Amino acid sequence: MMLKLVFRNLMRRPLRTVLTTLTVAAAVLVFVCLLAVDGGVRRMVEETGDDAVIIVFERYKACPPYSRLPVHYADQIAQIPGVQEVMPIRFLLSSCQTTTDLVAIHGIEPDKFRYFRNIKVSDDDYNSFANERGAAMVGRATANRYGWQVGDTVTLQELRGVSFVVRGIFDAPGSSLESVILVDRHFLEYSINQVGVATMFTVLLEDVGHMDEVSREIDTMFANYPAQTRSGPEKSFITGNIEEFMHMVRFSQIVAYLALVLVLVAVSNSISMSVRERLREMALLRTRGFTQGMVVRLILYESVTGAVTASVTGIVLAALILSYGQFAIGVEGYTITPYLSIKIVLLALLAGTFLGFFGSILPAIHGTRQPIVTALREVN
Amino acid sequence: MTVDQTENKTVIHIESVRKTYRKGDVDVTPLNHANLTVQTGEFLVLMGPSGSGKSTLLNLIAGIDKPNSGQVIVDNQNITQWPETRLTVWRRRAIGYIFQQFNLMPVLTAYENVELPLLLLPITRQKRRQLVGTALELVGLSDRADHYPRQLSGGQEQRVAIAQAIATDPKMILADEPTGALDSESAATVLDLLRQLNQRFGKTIVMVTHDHQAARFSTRILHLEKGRFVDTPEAPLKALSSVDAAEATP
Repeated sequence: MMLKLVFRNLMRRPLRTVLTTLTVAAAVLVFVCLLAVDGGVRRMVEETGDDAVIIVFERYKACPPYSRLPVHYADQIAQIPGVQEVMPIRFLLSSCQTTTDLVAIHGIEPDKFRYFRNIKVSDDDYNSFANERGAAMVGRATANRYGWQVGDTVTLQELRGVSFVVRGIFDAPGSSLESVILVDRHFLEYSINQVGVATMFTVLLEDVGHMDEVSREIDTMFANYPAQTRSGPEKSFITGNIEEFMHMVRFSQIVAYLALVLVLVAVSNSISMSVRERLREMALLRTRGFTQGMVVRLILYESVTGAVTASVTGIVLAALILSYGQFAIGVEGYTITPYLSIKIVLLALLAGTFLGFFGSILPAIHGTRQPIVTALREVN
Repeated sequence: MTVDQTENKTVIHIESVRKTYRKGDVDVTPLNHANLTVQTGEFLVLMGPSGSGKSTLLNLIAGIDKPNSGQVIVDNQNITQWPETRLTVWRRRAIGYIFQQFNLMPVLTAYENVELPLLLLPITRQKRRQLVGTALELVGLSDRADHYPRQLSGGQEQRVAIAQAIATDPKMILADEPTGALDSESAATVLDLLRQLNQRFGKTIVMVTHDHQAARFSTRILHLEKGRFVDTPEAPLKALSSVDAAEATP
């Protein structure tokens, strides 16, 4: 019965309810999308970076993917005590800027790759890829974005006309790798006429405890070489590289929270009008035995119900947009895919509840504080 | 609905009540040291010009307003200084209030409007349904239970409001110009209902009205002027008391 009353009061002014709902839904939509970018960054760092891996780039390169290191460094790095495996990787990117249209090819060594990276793909597909020069493994996100399928031959004119045959599509949820095209490093080097040049090295250690020590040793080893190195744990390296982007994300989050505050004012205004129109009814309820607290709760239920409904709408819309939009942001060679986690959904619901509660609490208390007789007399 | 068997018991005692409020720049005193005693089972009519304090008196009895001085004792309880929450809870069972403008919830059906005050009582859903049915039947609107107020005539709305007021079986019914917004036919029906409630079920009724016709159902009429009772004429309805209440049509 009380739910009926709440629902029917919400439907009493359908246009106002719809407009208020849309306002809250839009705010939650923006809020969720911005938080999803942050979620995507965190997830990317978590899934892409490995605690046991050191990565080595060329020192003094503003954009690490543009670093150029001689491949033979790998042999010297492998000699350092505590190093278990070294793999040179060659990057080929469409852009090093922040972009929503990043295409990235990683030239890897198929026999070593699986020591370093965890991707989900069938052994048959992986073996086909490993045994065929000119074959590629494509991350699910990129394959979906361009509609590529196993067996397709692809030529990327924007990446120096590199051409390959798709031999497998792999999954690496959350990882930047999902947006990457993997090819054999040697094949890539010959395709672009730059043999013996790597972008980076990934270094697997026998003991994670020696991470800093080995990093220092690598950098010291090449300190007097023409191409000096910058080494470090992979996670912190990625975080450092995308720091500027993270500043931007944090700033946009502040804007999103401010938008919620603005919507709070809009909700409060809407509830104030609604309460104002129903002073007589609220007085009547009190005459019939409803305490002030009960009347306040009725208004709160009404407002929170509306706001939570709007939040759910905003969350669903955000999920649809993020899911069907297949957005991916390329930053410094890493691809960030917005990620809508349970935590973000709960936070958005909490934000909706917050809007509903704090948007109505003051108007509700104000409305019920009016003496019954005054409220009845005022409108009668 | 139960019949109040108590006889000649004082149910309302107003003692030297003064009520003043500010209207714009002017202090208005609708009640000025007014005294009143109402016995159980009475049908008291309060008459007087606008602003004479009739409605204020009803509001004080119902505990929805407080006097500046004096005492309001209802059902042997001095409610004058009770806090709002206590008054609200007390009103659930003690008072049925009928307004001139019906004051039904427009978003609820007739049934739901009558059910509303019953939701506050510790009774089962089945019992609640039974009480709503009885109240609607008593006012002759069982067939309009699913109608919204906007789908009812003024007279029917007021009958729903009466059903709402009596659903909780209150000891007394306070009616503030219940026929003031009705045509004569609907007004007669409403008055007859009130008379039934008084005579058949022994409810104490205090009714404010300007209508002398309405007053003819009362057992006592009091006139208020400038916040004081000016006379207490003979009850005009001695003759009616012999009418069998059962004959009255709701």
